[in-house]
Amino acid sequence: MVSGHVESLFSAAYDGELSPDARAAFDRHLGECSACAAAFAELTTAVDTLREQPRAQMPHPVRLPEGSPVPGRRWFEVPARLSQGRRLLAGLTAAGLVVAAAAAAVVVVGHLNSGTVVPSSSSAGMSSGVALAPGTAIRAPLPSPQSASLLPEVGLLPVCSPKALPISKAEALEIPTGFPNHATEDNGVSTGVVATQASSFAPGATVDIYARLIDDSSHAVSLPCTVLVGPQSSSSSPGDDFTMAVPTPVAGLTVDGQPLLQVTVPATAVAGETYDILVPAPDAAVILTIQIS
Amino acid sequence: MDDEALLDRCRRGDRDAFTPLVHRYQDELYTMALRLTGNPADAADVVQETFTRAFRSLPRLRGATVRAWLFRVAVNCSHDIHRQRSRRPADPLEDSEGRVLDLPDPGLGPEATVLQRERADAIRIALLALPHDFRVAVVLRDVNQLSYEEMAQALSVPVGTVKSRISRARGLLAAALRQSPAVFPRAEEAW
Ligand SMILES: [Zn+2]
Repeated sequence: MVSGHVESLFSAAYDGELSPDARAAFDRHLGECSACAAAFAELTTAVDTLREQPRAQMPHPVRLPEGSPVPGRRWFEVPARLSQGRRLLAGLTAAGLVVAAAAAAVVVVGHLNSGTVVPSSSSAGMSSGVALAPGTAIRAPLPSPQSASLLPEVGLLPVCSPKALPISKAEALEIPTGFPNHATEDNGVSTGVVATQASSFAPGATVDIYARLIDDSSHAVSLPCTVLVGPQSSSSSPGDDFTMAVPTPVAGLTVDGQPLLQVTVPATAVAGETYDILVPAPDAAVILTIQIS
Repeated sequence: MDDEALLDRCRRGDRDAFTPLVHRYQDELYTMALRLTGNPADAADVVQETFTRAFRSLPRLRGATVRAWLFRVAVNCSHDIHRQRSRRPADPLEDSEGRVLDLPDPGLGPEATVLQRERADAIRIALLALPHDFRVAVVLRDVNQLSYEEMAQALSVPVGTVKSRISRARGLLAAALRQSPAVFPRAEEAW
């Protein structure tokens, strides 16, 4: 197009999005340029024709699954409690602790009700029966603005953004050998996978977590950056001792060359209790249950 | 009762609160899926799958509006079905020689005129010729009339991206319809 033509404004003009001044200049150009006038008329006719198509009707009734729309667990009540957690995490971020955690492989465990934060060190070597690959760099490119923008919708709290992983959806969904305790949740927007090497852990134990989030439309895979750990509660007022953990990928801690996360079971956990490991995903969360032994 | 009030009741386990959401959105979603897939059976599958997923997850919805979220799930479902179809050897919309079959548009009743049917056909073929992201953009905007902001939520892209996709898509749509006498009656003389 010769410079000065207004083709790039057609769509905004059709939607009435141009400012009065821009619209006046636009109309002036159409008055002088028959090519633009004809092309805008063509676009208008085409879009009008699409808009005039009648709405179709769903040909048969939608069948709903049995039962109640609310899943057995009411984790969606969690965000109410996490309003405290959000402030806690905001404080952490401000203090640079999260950055420090990422760098030094520190696991931060905080009790929401008391507001205390107990950073505790956890070295990469002490974890696990996973084959460690010393010196393996964890590839963690900056998240796309797109994935970052999804986080706040969870209402759970972004302290950091998920890290994009250069693997396929199929690879991400393949639970690694040695992680028999696992859960997968696909809510139509994103799919979450979370797995641990055992289903029971002692208080204070370090838990290696295989966790992946997959965007259902782009199939982009990311490593979650936040996991919540807390006692499962059957009452309508969830326990006040719900614990938030900010896990970190631990340098060298990998499975099949891909990073794992790590959290610590609160020392206050009591044998016989059931705990939830909750990985927030856009619009939802994946929950994995562990027993305290 | 508005969407949020129904959603609140869903969150409290009220199954009956979900049905009005289905009735409110099923035709809108079906029309969207029909324009995206070009195929009534696929479109019905998309709507069924969307509500099945929504039934499981809607109570946990945060942030996005119910409407934008349902569209997001439905767009993803349409994409999945489209991908499955493109792997099948024979596209149900085409005959063995690859010609697009002349399916009646289920949005048109028996009283529709020949011209209306020709236009519906031209639109269907033109939409199917658009690249997926552009087809989604123009359908959400000009079939379902979502706002830019709703589209940004539904597609999880910035508003600027929404606008540029709509603009590109409308240009491509106009170009694809240019040769259709049903849409541009004097197409032969003018072009
Ligand atoms: Zn011009």
